[in-house]
Amino acid sequence: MNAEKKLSKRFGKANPFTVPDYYFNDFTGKVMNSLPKREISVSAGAKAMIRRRLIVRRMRQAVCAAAVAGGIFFGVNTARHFYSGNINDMHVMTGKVNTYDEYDRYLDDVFDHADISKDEIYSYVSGQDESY
Amino acid sequence: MLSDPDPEVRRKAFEIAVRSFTPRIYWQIRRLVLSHDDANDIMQDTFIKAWTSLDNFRGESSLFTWIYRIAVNESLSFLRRKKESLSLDSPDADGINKLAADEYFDGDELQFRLTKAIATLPEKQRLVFNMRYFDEMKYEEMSRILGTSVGALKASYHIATKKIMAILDEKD
Repeated sequence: MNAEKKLSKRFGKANPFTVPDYYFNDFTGKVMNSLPKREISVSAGAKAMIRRRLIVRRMRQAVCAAAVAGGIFFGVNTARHFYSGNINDMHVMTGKVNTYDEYDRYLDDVFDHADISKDEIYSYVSGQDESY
Repeated sequence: MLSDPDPEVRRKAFEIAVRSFTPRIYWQIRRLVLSHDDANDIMQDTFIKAWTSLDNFRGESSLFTWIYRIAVNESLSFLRRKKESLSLDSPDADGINKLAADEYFDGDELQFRLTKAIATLPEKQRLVFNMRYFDEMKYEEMSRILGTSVGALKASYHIATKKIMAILDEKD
């Protein structure tokens, strides 16, 4: 067994010293009250260190901002490419109202299929055709 | 926070440091100088010196390590001044003689003998022994605080433990 282990086994490591009651609680206040009140200037070395840390922090922020901007740009372009074949959906996305011409083309397909003319539909809707 | 331009912020930050570092630093000083009154005086001097020397803190080590180093230097200076002022063979005989009657020493016979044996070591060797044996500090941390190589610290500790065992075996 080495000397340290022998010592530890025989005498232990318990602390035999004590302090007055509340010593540590009161100590901080006593020290702070005894500190000189003069201004402390920051050393040139500490200033340089703070400046370096600020530069690193700003660079990190710039990289993050660039990454976010790049992500938005990429996302919008991807969405535009994906939705370029569907004009109606694109207009819904952009909030544009479909034009009259686009509705008209759609209705032409419906009328052809149902063997109804547009004029018959319009007169029905306007109440001019009393046969319905 | 310690480098904040607002003096109130700096003061508050220093207060937090004092509160959190005090116990660990106190016990290291106390084991060196033995007396509570002496340890208390050295602690106050340590923190006042740290406050007035904040200009010199470059952040190369942690704040704790920096203040601990100040405490160690203050303690060693104290012991040197005491050695010069006492005309005794053993510079710490005064401290040991008073220890038995000290109201703030609560140790049994074995602990008293161990404390007395440690007090016979040279100051720096005593410091290394206390840091390693009682605080179980890693050699790397001790090296940062004391500015001594790990190898030298290991050798110092090894010699210290052998000396203490020899003294204690002699008295048995």
